[in-house]
Amino acid sequence: MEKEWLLETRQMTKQYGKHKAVDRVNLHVTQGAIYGLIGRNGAGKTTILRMISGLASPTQGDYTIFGKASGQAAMERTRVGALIEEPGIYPDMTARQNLKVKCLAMGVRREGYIEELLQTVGLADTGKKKARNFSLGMRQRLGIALALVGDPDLLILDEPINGLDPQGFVEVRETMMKLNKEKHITIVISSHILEELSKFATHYGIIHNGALLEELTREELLEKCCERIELKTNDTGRACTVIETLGIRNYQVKDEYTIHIFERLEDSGDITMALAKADVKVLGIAVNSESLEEYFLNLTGGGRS
Amino acid sequence: MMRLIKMELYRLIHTVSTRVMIVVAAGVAVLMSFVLSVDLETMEEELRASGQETGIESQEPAESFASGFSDGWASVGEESAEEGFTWGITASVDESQIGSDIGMGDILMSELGGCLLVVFVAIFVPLFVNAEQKRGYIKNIAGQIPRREMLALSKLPAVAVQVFFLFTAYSIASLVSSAIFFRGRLALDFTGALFRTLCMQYVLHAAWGCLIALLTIVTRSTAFAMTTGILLASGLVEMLMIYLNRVIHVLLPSSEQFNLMHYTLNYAVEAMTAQSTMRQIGGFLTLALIYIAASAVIAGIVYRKRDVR
Repeated sequence: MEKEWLLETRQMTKQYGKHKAVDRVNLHVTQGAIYGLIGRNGAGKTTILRMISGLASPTQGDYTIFGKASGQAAMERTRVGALIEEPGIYPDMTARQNLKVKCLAMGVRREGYIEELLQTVGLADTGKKKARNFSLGMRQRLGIALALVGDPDLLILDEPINGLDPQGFVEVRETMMKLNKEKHITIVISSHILEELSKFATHYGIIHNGALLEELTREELLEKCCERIELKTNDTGRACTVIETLGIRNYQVKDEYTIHIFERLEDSGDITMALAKADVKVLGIAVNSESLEEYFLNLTGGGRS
Repeated sequence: MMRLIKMELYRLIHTVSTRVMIVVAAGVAVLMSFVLSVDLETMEEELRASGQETGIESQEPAESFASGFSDGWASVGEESAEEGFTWGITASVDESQIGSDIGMGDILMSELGGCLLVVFVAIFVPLFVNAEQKRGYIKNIAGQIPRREMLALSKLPAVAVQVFFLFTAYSIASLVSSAIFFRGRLALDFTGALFRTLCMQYVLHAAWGCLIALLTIVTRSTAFAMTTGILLASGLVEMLMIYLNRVIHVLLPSSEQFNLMHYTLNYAVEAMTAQSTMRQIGGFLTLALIYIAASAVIAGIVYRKRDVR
């Protein structure tokens, strides 16, 4: 049976004149995930998020959201809160007034609702301070609060950690994790900094020049980036038997000739000796690791655009 | 739809530009009353100096004063004289007022017909309508509204309320300041015909506001809508109208009676007076409703079809 996605894009494309900002992208977001969309500036992240939040229409392709095709998802889209690019706020209004405007639009009348939202994003004590006097972090959090009006099940955040100082980043990150854990809100968040997303995202989509290069889970990404012994041998079957006799359990056969060993990284000499004794030819052995940024850069073509 | 109208009204009440609009409208009303009183005094003194008694009908044409815009538009004025209307922002002193009581209704009608509030509408409506786009707030709501065209339609009732605030601020300030500047000479000559004219002027100004809102929505530009609105209000595009009229007359010789200018809101604002017949008022009302409906339909389509930026 085909897996049901909370959000799935199918060959989604957005073209401006002759330029394809998004090119046949197939994203898959599961319920409860924090999906990190990673790509350099101009990779097409914002355009994708604008399309799935209903602000723009795909030129080609389609997407389903909460099980409904985009054309029939008008009601489902009311369950999608979005913060696209900079937070859209009225600078001459207070945080409360900004939220009141959206509450009126969404028909939210519950007493204490705005205070609750302000509490959630840590802006409860802003009082009569106008939004124009807010710091960047406060504005981002107000943007998130605005996206939360109407209790969405899917939150789309476009670079909400951009330009934040470390303290601001921690605040926004904790807010997102709290929303995901306590309110079970699925979050799609974009950033050009993989290192930052890796602290809380559960799934990743890597975008480059409008195309989706790779989709992977947190575990898959960490596995690709963690320190390991990369063993090249002519007989992986027998090599595995030898490794297990050494008491090594955390390993993975990657292909016909390669085994990745994730423990006892300092024992590569003993492993080589044991393999030689068992008459298994070692073609190469090395301890390798790749940082998240290196992985991302390698995938997107390094420093080249 | 009602939710969105409530949202727009909340925004209208809490926005700084509304407060600025009210203060400016009231300030200009005071200034207009002051200039009018000074003008009348000067004319009365001139008449006294020339040995004539005040209250006698003068043979000289009434000196008109404008808010500064109509100076140097001789050609515009000349052409319009054929039509019997003066284009541009004007407010004139009625000779019969020299030495006699000053009718509050006359003052208001003169200033409304002079397109002064039309200019205010052209300035403040784009500020209000485009704030959502300019501040990016539209991105918070557009995706979550099932029928996006409602976002455009909800702005029109808010614009009508904005014009109402403008009318009210201007009228009250004009009434109070006229009472001060004309001391005991101010007559509160409010009649049914005057009330009808005021209501009709409000409808015409609201329709004008909807047209300006449409321009703002289509172009997403406050500056463009404002400039176009001011140019239209001040009569600077009248030359274009005359040219278009000639083109129409050349293309359709049987349409010689047709005058494009008669289908503009500015014409209606200037032509709508307490003396207007019911037939004329019906025509102006129809014109206003057509502008409102067209603005609503086009703005709705633009919002529905176009990506939100």
